[in-house]
Amino acid sequence: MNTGTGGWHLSSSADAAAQVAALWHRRNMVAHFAAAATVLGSSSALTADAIVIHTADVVEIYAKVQSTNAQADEPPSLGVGLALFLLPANRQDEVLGDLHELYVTRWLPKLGPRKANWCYAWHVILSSTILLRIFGGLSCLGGLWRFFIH
Amino acid sequence: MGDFERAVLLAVLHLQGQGYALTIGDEIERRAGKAVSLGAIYATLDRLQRKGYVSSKLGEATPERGGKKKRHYRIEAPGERALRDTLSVHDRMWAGAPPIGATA
Repeated sequence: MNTGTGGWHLSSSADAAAQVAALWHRRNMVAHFAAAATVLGSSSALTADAIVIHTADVVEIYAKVQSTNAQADEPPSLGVGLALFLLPANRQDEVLGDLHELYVTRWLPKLGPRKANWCYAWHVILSSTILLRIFGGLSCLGGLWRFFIH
Repeated sequence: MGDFERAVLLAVLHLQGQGYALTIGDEIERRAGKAVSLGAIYATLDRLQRKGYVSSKLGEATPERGGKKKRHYRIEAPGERALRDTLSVHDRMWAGAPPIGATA
């Protein structure tokens, strides 16, 4: 599989399969597969033997990569659980939303998943400590219940 | 009112009712050049709200927030008065002071 001028060309079935396997989990593959799907969608411009993955397969691969990436963009469930456990119930939506936005738009692209997860957990603890001090009580039991039924 | 409270209140004023904790932090960072923690902003906004300086309402949920709602903050009349007072105290204190460095 290589980039030609203006799109993706799949040279042989073995080549494409190997590359798909190797690149399966790479985050930037969404764009690549979208491009491949676009090329294959206009298959009249390609010779028959150049198409080694059928359009339906590419669409399926694209959907899988997309869903993998959607999961990768989610904040760590442990951090979210911690937030639900520690944060006052009336502030959870606001704080979790802000942290989610920070995670997806700033930490993840800048730091990568591992550091972004740590960063998320650290900010949960920091925000929880401050908010708990203000509200002067633990909402842990309520939070724990919400966590399990979430 | 402390320096940080004033900074948060001014950021709320600048954002004209559209500010939420994240953008308020960004506004302070952009204007004052200081990074502020989200937790400190929540604490300060909460204090300002209890003083009646700001009011808040839950806004819309967006996908980049994982479907969670924003809490928008708006400055209220007591907040504006407090800012004006701070400014006039500030002005009175500066009035007639010699230029900085001139006394050394």
